[in-house]
Amino acid sequence: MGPYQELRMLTLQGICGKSPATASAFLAHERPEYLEAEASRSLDLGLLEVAKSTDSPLPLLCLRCRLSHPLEAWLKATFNAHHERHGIELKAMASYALDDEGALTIRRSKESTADFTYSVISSLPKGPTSPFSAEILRSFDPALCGLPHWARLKIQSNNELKAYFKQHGLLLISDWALLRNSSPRRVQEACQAHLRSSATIESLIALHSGFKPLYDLAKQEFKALTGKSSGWQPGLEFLQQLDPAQEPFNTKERLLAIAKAIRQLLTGSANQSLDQSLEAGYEPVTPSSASSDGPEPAALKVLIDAALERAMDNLLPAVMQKEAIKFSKDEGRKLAFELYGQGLSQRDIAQQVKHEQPWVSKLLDEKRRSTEIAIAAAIELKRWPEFISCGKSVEAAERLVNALRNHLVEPELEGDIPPLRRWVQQYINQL
Amino acid sequence: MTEPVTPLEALTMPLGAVELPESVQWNSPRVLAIAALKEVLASQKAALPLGPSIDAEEEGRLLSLNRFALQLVTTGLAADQIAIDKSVWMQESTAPQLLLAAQVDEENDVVVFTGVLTSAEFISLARSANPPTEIIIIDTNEFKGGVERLLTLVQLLDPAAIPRLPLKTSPYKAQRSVIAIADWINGQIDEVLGQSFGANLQPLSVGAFRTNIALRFISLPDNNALALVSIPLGLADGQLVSGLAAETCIERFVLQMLATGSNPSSPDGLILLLSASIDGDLLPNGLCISACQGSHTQQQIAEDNTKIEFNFSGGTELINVSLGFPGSNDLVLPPLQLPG
Repeated sequence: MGPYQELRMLTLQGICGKSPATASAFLAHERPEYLEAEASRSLDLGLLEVAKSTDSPLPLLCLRCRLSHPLEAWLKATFNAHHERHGIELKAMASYALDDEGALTIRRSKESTADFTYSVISSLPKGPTSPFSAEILRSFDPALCGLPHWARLKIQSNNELKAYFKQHGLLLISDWALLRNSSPRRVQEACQAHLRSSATIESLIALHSGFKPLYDLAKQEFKALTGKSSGWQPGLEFLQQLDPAQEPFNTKERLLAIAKAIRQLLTGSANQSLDQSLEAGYEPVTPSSASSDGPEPAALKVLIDAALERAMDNLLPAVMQKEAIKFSKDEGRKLAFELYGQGLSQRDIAQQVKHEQPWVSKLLDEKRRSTEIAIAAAIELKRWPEFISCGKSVEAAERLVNALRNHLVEPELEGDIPPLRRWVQQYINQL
Repeated sequence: MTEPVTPLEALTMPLGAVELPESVQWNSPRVLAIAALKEVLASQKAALPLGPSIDAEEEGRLLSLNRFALQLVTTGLAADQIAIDKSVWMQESTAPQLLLAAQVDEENDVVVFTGVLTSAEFISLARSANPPTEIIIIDTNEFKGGVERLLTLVQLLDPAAIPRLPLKTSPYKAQRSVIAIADWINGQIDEVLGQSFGANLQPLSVGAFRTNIALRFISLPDNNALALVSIPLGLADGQLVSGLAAETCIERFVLQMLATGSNPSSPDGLILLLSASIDGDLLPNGLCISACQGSHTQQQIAEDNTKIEFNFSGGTELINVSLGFPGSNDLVLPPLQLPG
């Protein structure tokens, strides 16, 4: 079954193929060469021309079938890359992109429907349109890029899907933002490793360096016009200005190819990039070793433990009271804190409360809370001669706070419950 | 044939990312970053004053957080580099103490505070980048510690602990104008030594002073001290600093340069003495001093030393003195010259 007569769509069983008989009949009569052909740009454009010049919904139905395939491929690739860590569901993702059931009519308003033709979808008011394929087709400009690319660009900027991903700790970054925020060094590295193109690396870097200032201007105008920060796409004028010697289509294809190469370069490194780099530079040290000199470690430990206890008693009740208000909404929240108090790892907590690990991590917010407590304790300790250097030296201040934080969240001996977890356990037990 | 790499379509939201409401129209990445910073500060129990209260969103404007001068720089969430306007770094009076990097995703209204550089860390990176333009490009991964580092430094440190270090009139940079040692006898100290290095001059016309000074210098012939120039030095975040910046350092030491000679109006020798600020303290291990005059080079690296002393007797060839410390830029004095 060819791509122009099989519609990939979401059903109760998952993503399945549907072959509308009307589409096959149309192709058999009008365009038999499409029946078994592989999808191609020239075939896409041929069908689009027919769709534009007729009142029949059938050519457009064939194009709807066609674009459902790259959408499905994008959804599956994204799902495969992230579902284990973030718990995203393919069905939920598909509900935003593969919601076209192949109907020959489309809703124009609450009261009226009309034939699903090109002229009808072109006349619909701007804004999100359902099904998503109508939104893709009505905004598609073949002078700028191919239909599969356009489908991918549109799904990347789908606000509802973005919101769904955000809930699961994922951020969709558009190709344009990715290009804007990549250095020439990264572009060169990405193109050398992942781009097979007739264009030279130098010409791609030159294209990229011209893109940045134009993008900033265009983005500013777009924001002023629409009030939105996302959804911008380069138009004909932009692409012509960027490279007057080239067809806009070629320019856009080259930009998209660079963006794809950057994405390939980032694969594997991005998932561990930002949050792990935030952790970098913290080496475990004991609080006693962070003092410059002076009394015995045992005496220092008394000072440190007392300061940490006071800081926790001062800061945590308000935090936990806020959390406790939400316990009735989701029992998992209380259970997560209980298990945390018992010393379970975040992975084990996630399994027991039936949420993903990022949800647990965000709920417990251990790093931010332990840092705030450590800073409060360090401010108190700074008054003692042994810790006075913490007010004068960057290194000493960081060393003390890191050590205190480490002491708060790491057990001193195997099987011990660290102070922060112990405090949470006591609080939960009193509820 | 190798498998094609799957392009990464979505980025994991970093821990500690601040999500701002999508309903608000944010005019620029800086506006988003300031809103996120305010949200972080509001979540802290300790009230940390953030200023200025008006026009903080203006591009390039320095912020003040708990009495620290803060430069806020933004870039995209997936960015690998960040552009920093160096104009504020050209004068000591406007140079920030801390540089905070925010990675902003305008499409999702998310801000991640990547980390902080202290003035000394920034200067070190900026000097190695050394671009001719007004913009310095720094890799985002040079910023460490997230917003937690910012909160740690501004709450624990005394503001004087992080000096304002200018890029232009660098206290570390070699100045090529020659310093005439004979001027010291007349109570004159070169502007470069005085302003850039914070050097103090002590003319030694009184015998009692000379005797007192003589006790500190091993190689000083009796009563031959004519003028003493002292440069306060210190280590700030592992960087060699001098003058005022050295006063707040934990590890402080001093380079004393003593003009000597039997003729009170014309010095014919120079003794260099590097010692800890407090008598008897050890110099930081690894601290290196080298001095050369023509082919005569003296160099020593401190290793449990309380002092290091070099002696130069006569000759009009230039005396070049420099200090180094592992991980720090070298501190190079302008060339010194004895009279012929």
